[in-house]
Amino acid sequence: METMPGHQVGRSLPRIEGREKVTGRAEYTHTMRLPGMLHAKIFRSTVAHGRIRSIDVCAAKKMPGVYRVVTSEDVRKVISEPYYGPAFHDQPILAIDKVHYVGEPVAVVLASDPHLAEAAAALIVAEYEELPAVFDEVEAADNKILVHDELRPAGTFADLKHLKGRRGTNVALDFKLRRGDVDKAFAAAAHVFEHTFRTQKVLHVTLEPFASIADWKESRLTIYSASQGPSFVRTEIARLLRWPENRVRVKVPYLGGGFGGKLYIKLEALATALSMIARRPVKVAVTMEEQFYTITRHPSTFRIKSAVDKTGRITARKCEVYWNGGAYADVGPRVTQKSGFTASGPYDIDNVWIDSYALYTNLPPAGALRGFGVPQLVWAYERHTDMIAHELKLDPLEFRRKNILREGRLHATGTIAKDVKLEAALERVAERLSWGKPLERGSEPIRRGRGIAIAIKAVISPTTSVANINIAADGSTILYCGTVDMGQGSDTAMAQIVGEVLDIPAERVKVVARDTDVTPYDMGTLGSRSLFHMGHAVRLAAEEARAKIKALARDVGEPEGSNIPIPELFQKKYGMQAGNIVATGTYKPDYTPPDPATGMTPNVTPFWMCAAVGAEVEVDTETGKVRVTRLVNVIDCGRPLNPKIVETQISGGATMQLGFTMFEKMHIDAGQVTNASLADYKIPAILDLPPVMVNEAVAAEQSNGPFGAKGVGESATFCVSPAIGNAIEDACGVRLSELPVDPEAILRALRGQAEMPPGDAR
Amino acid sequence: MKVTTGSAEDWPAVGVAVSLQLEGSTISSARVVVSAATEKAIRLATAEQALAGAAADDKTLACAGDAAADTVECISDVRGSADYKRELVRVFVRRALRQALDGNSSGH
Repeated sequence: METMPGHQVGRSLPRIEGREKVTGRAEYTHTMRLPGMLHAKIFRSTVAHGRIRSIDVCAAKKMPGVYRVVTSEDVRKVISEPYYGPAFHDQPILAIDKVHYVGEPVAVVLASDPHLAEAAAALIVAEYEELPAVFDEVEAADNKILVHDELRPAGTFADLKHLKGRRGTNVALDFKLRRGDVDKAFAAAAHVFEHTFRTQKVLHVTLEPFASIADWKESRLTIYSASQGPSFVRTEIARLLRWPENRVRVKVPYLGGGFGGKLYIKLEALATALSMIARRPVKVAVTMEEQFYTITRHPSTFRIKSAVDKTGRITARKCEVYWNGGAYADVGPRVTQKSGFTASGPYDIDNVWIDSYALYTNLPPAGALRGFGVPQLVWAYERHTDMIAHELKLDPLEFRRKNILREGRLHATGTIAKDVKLEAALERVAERLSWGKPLERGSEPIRRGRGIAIAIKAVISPTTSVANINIAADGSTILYCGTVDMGQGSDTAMAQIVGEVLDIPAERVKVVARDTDVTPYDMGTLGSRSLFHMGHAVRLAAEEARAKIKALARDVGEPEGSNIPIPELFQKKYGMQAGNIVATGTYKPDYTPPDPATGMTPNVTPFWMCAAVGAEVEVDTETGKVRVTRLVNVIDCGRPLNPKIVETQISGGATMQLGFTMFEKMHIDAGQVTNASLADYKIPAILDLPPVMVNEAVAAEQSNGPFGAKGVGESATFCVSPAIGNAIEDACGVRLSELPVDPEAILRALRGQAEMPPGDAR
Repeated sequence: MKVTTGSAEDWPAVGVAVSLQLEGSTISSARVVVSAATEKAIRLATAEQALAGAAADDKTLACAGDAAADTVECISDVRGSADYKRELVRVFVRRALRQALDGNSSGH
């Protein structure tokens, strides 16, 4: 990869924090302690839906060493309206009157020892009047069992305001997109195909579980939190306390993983309330098991129907997507809309109809997880694509080539596909799979097959990032940046941008960790937005700093083009090593809100992400077991600012999605998660990886990106599942429509029901 | 032999252990034990009987797998239904026997 003039962008600089992390010196909230700090342990609901009859905390209170036991009654004395959330203010700090899912926080024990708090929490007894519960997203849409009496949208998002006060519904948001005349196109179609696809509930499994510490004082509050969005936490806590934002300080050290789970607000409101009640610092740090009751990924049901003409062109597509949001909305309504509008896929289709519904159910809440719903959509539309191709006896690659959204064409949203290297990614995958040559099909009992998939995603828009730069009198540079480095390498990339503009080695730039008293506003580290948005803000700040250095040089009488060292400029100006250059950059892309009638807009996103994946599999026809033998991941991230980090983002994203494809699943019985631990919920380990894995970025340049770059964190997750599903169908003819891949279902399909009768329910 | 239906690191859906004694190309005695799919690890007498005194060939191994599947009582859980695990027992008893024989013939 060629480097830019400053030789910083395009460099595979190792992570600037890597050494600190691997030597165990990096700071994480989960292991942090404050003097006088109390530990909180949460007592959780054991029923999926019910009225709280009583909470008996006597035994817990009496346990020696217990400082206090807290219920929602106590919380309301310090925060009168204790409901929080990014899209809806629907989540109580502790359950009030009702519980809405198994695992919902009901009470808290505070003690100076976390294990003692846990033992005491086990002594709490709650009685519930159980209510009927609803768990399935499609059933929830019937509104026969209601999760909440009334919708409580937050004021944050203009497009949710119309939902305020709506009653008698589980639909938290319904998004519609209407393009062209779908009915007419279906009537005129040579072929019509309709399929339904489902995805399961899965978990982020961040290796550092959620943790927040609140230290409340009369006049100020400091929160230490494993959060992907310190600015949002500050705004939301200030709202709850009715304080100005400058009295709330949120500090975020490194994160042991985020993947969308630690976005917006999680434990911060509870920690704040507890610190206000105890008047001491309070830490809420959950266990791995409790993560299963905090935030998860949306299960989905997607009904997709396509009209195809005689030549194999897709002329119309109807998409109906149901998102299982669980008991609280979290960011589900954004998933519903911002992913929903790409439900028709990366294809050039004139007539598109999309209905996307966010549903409340009595399950643990669902939010963002590396792709904001897109991997669930791609599973459906790319399996659908292959199933159509097979029915029409068309080569899946040719069928995609015929219908792919080409550069400069209108996407279904009404926004032009610009800087979308989708065709290049697809062709590269075909090349790496040697698609033109026949595949060695294996010998019994093994059958081999291959599959491809493509996808597109828009970044969430419009969002804002601000960055500050401070150059000291010795010329050393500090970047103040609210992007949370949760393992994706953002601190390194931002330092490279500063280094490029100021023509200094990136490793000499200090990146100040997130602290809302110090680092300026950022919307959040989410949806692959940071490198583009914060990258621009950092570039602008660095350009302003560069301009100020030039101005200082002029000021002290240096000729134009002088390369006098910066410390000498300060020396000349101030007579000693003194003074600062302070610069700032703010970035917010242009955006046009969708037309409420059609859901369409000419400017839905500042950039498109796209990806293609190819998979080769072996199916053991005696057991149904699938082995992925080759996984080719190709994405478009514009110009890779740090090629090594790009490669690891691709392999990490693909591996994560491989787990969601092959085996990860939260098993749920009457609302109770039955495998809530790493003993029973497995994520991919080294033996699960394909022996051949290719991780590439296509040669690309994002014309409006910082140094030609755009986001990369999610892209490799999009296509893994359908590429594998398509390869399984190619290998043995079994058509999977549900995730994860289930060897038993494959064996049953291979044999037909006669030879192996259906077993008892699992 | 550890058989998982999910991650390679998952708990086994079926565990199979076999040992064989050969006299020339005839199996003089055999032990076949199945675990994980069953309530506790058990010896499968019918499979052992199918092997004892029989020729060490594919047909015998398949018969032993079938005998194991016919008699084993499996339990259903998230790793597979009882019926499915019975099929896995059939396949993996046979494969474990083959592996044992191949190991033997190659001198391991």
